[in-house]
Amino acid sequence: MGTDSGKPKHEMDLIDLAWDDDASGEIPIAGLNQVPDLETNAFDRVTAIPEEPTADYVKHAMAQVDEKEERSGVQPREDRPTNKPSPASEFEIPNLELDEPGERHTEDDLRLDLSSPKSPDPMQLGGPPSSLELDLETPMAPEVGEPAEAKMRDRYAAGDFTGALVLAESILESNPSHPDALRFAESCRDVLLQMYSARLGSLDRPVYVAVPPDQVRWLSLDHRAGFLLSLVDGSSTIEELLDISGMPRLDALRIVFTLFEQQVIGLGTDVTTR
Amino acid sequence: MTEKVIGIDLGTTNSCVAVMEGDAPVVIPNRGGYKTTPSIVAVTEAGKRLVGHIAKRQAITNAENTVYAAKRLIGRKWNSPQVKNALMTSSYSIVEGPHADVRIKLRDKTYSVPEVSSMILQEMRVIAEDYLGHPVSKAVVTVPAYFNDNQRQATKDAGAIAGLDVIRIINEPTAASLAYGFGKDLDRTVAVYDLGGGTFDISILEIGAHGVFKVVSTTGDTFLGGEDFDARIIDWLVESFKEEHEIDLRQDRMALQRLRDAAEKAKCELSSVKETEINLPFIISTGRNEALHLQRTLTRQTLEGLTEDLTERTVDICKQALDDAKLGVDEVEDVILVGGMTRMPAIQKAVTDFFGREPSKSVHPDEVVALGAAIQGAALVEDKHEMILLDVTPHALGIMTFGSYFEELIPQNTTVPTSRTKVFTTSRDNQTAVKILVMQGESKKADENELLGEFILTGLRRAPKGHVEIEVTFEINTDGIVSVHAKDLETGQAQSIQVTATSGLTQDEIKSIMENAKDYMVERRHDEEFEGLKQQAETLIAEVERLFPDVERVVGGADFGRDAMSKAKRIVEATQAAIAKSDTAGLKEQVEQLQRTERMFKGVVARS
Repeated sequence: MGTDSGKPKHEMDLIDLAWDDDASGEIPIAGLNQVPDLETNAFDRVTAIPEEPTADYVKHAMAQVDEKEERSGVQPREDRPTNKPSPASEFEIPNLELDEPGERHTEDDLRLDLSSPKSPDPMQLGGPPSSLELDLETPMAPEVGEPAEAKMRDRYAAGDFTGALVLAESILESNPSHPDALRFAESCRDVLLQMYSARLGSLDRPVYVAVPPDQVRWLSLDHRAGFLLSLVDGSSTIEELLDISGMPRLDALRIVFTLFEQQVIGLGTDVTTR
Repeated sequence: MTEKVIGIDLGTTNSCVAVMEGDAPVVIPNRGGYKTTPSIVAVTEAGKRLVGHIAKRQAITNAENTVYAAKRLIGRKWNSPQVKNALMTSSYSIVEGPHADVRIKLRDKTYSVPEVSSMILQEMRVIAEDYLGHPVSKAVVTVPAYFNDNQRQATKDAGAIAGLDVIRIINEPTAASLAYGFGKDLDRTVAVYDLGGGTFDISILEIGAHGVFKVVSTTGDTFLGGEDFDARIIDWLVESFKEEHEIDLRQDRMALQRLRDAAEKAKCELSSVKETEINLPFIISTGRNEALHLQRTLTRQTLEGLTEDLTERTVDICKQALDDAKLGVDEVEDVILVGGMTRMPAIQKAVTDFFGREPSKSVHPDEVVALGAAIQGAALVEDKHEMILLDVTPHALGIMTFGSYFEELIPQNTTVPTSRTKVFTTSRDNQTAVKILVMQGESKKADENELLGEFILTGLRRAPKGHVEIEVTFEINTDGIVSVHAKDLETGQAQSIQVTATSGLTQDEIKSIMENAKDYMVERRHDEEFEGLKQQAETLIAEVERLFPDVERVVGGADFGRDAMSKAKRIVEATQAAIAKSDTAGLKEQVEQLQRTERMFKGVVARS
């Protein structure tokens, strides 16, 4: 430990010297010094760590995909109809690009990064997994689902996990045992779950309705969001809402996130010791 | 100090736990502050077990994996009419068990009914332990007066699985009367009108001096309760919505869950106000993705009109109870109301009109049974003989005779231990063997009673019918074990059988389930410890991070400052890693480190 040459000595007395005593000199951090299991956990795999902030990375990646599609005569993503819209498509991620292009992160943003749970950054860790890249090179006979499959891979590679999931689910509708679609769907769900969880913070926070009761009906919600909103009683946590919603966890979390983003609901402090 | 005994009212729809505090029994609220807990168990898609209110809130959206009213099935045989009825009406899967008993399938696992009930009892135990601050191992549990020995045994087994020694099973109306007469020296005939969430029971009791509580008659309807009242409101809402929008809300589970919750809430509100608003925005979406709202005003008068026949049904059953007790309505000296539904003014009016007197207001309808159980529990451990209920046979015991008639040997409500003997004769000429069918029940027709066991006495002398005398003896010991002996009085040839109540589970099965339940509790307590630490850690992290800029400013670019800051960041990261890994031991260490970091940071900032 160095000495504090610039400060009066009495300040050193305040320091709890034992505080810095580590038996090993190392503090274990989950995920580090571990060989990632490529087959079982796609999110421990660090295949592409963008230098830029996550949100910007997503924006750029999506822009590249859109640009490619425009060049190839494909309709822009927003307007293009999917093969068969699944319920999930009703709940597109609401505005992931929170930062305006070129917007600088404030010190508070950086501090938030430190306080948020150190779950792997889905945008960083959820890049195209190596095993899936290998599959891309595997010669495949042309088949009906091929364009959808290729699009699914593209979306996944570009970090559009919602889009990739919609495509994976549409493939699974016609072929429920499609191995790649199954893997992509599971992978996308995991990444999206982590993303929403990370954005909401602790799932043990209680949820409250943030709009006056008489104004609820003027909101623009569908019946599923309305149902989830009806479960909000001010004391149930996000985790409890997910448990009792009866919906797939991802759908429920996505709706909670949307309601939170729209400031229809608010989140209290963690009440895990209730 | 004697160990505290909790009293548990294990209800069909709601359960309640109470304990003696000093000289008075008190009901213990659950973590949500409610004094009753829904007797509902569910398993989520993620395999998580939910019990109580949280399970109730997802009962319709996860109907296949939510068990309600398990009490209707406990201790029943697979081929019983009640189980057949449940098979047709339950949303969860009921399957046959290996001992002709009943099992319930939730997700990919099959549970015995005592196991499901044990989850509710375990919840009640945890509620009591959290309140008392120490472990609880003894309980008195209440059951309906009509429960037979198997159902009582199954309830005891459920207690054992939940880690509770059920020191006494008492009848619900008796418990209610005990709480009603607590501290008073009463000698009167009372009616206990118990309209709960799923069942209706009416019992006539004689409360005598020196703690004698005799159930004179008990009857009811196991499929009549508050839920039927809710269903009428739901029907009314669904029909009016259908008329307006041509959409059947029953087709949507989420809409139905909301309707059920709203109906129950409206019903409760109408006990104190004349009208209430039911407002369910975004109840359903149309094909054009347009969300529709449901908004209706329900008046007390409308509710009473919708449920008039249900109220009348309870009155008809009351008449039957009095007939069974061979009592006139004017001989009932007081009426005790039990169950949340009895708050409904129309019910109170119907009871008042029928019995010709206002029901007693001295007891709380939701709590009275648990309070009575707690009083009995305390009396048992403190050896207060004047308040100890006598252990009696819940049903008459006897054998089947010629023509499928039931011959009673031990009447209902006989104090145990006891022994009764009766002589029978052969019913056919040259009969060399008799089959003794041991039965339990009150009906004169044998097939309407429950068969407990059977055996054959052979080697009888060949003689005309009625000439061979066979002596049959029934004995019940203090543990409630029934022994039946049959003896040919001429030859001395004898045969016997011992009947023990069974819940449908073997001792080995109970033992194995108990182990699993113990593991579950250990895991649950561990999770609670982890969650507590997690909360503490997250508060500390927030505080440390709040202090970061100030500390950074104070220590400036000094080496120590850089080391301290980087060390603090490493601790924060390690704490977050321990949280992510659910590592309780690691988290405990990191919380200590965080506390020291926080102290140090605060010290630095304070001196600057």
